[in-house]
Amino acid sequence: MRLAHQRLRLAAHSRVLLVPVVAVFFLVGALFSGDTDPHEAWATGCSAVGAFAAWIVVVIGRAVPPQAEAMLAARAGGLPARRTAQLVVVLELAVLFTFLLVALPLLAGVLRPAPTALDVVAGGLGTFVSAAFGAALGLALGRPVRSGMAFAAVVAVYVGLAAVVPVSSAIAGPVGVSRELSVSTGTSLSAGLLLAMAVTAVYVVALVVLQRAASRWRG
Amino acid sequence: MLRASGLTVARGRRVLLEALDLEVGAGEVVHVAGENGCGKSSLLRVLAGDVAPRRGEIRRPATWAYVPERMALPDSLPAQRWLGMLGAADVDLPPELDRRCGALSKGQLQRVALTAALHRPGGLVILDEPWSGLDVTAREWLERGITGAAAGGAAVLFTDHGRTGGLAATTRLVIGDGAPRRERVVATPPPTAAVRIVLARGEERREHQVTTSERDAVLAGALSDGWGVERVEAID
Repeated sequence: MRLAHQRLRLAAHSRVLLVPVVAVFFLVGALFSGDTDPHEAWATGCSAVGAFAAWIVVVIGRAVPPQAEAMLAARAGGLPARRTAQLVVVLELAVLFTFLLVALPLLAGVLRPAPTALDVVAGGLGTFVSAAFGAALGLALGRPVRSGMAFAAVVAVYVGLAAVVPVSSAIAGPVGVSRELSVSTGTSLSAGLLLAMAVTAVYVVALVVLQRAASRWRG
Repeated sequence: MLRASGLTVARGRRVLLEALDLEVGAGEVVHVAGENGCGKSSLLRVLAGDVAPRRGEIRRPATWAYVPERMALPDSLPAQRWLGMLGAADVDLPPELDRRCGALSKGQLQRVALTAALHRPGGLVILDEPWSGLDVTAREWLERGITGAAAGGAAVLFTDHGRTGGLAATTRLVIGDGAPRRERVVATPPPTAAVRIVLARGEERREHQVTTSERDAVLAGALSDGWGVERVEAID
């Protein structure tokens, strides 16, 4: 966990995080300005939040020189510390986005009609897995891929997932979660939504495994 | 201290080292040598836990330090804060290094990185081209640091394309031309740079010819004995 936060501190020194952080606050403001239907806002949020999480992870990865990261990782315990740090980044971003898109609007009381407990669970879990998917995608597309290529790949992945939605929401990852959330009014935790979230979680694990295998292959 | 067995190091399809067994004991200083592109840096990255080996096992001490080649840090990061992140916050950097990393030269940045690695080095220190970019004074400082770390019980591995680094090594590990082989460095060759020190006390004169690494100690001893320094000059 310490290594993840040290990477974040190094990235903050290069100030490259300013733009995505401002963009995230713009997203939250745009989704929850005035009275907001929770299903619509969370459904839209699930589509957007992964791209933002991927953006942040790519930016952090590019901002931290690999030499500095190697020194920190060695001090923290080598490869296991590095792998833990990657998981911490994915989980912390997922928690952060869940807080910003679900907890914060609830606390601010801007959701109309007021969501039920099941609505909140559905929105919270959906946002969490969608953000985790984006963060894991950012990890897989991080160094040594160039930033422009990484962003293009993120867009391509989301376009591809959107194209799959008409066939089956269940295999469309966060876009499928978004779709299921938007149609699940009245039955918050539908079987379709649960399936889409479970498949997205599997994608997260697959992306982390893929990233590790690619890193091992590159040497 | 460091034990690797059956190590295969590869980058993509290219296998650089295969089935390497390596054992480095406490206090041993190993110069990893070989031609460009033979896998020295890749081996050090694997040994430092920066990347996973394709095959094999590595056993390291509980703590270790690693300085990769071509050091880079964010420009706006103060050097002292970097040391703090590496558990060396109590090191007092000299004024010329106590600045933001962007204001440091390549050699100064390298020295900051090495300072962090050699401060309480733990059981193992891995340095990739550590002499790169260092001036004469800093090279001597590094050599003292490596010798001190080894004397404190740390195993030290380094690569070096120049000749300076070979001076500190007790063992050379040559890789890249067939099976890796270890060569014991029986005696460290004398440093090429030598200086003449002329001391004066009243009418008395005394002359010493010493190596650059001995210079400071001789001068300090002479001054504490009441001698004045008349001149210090390089011997060709």
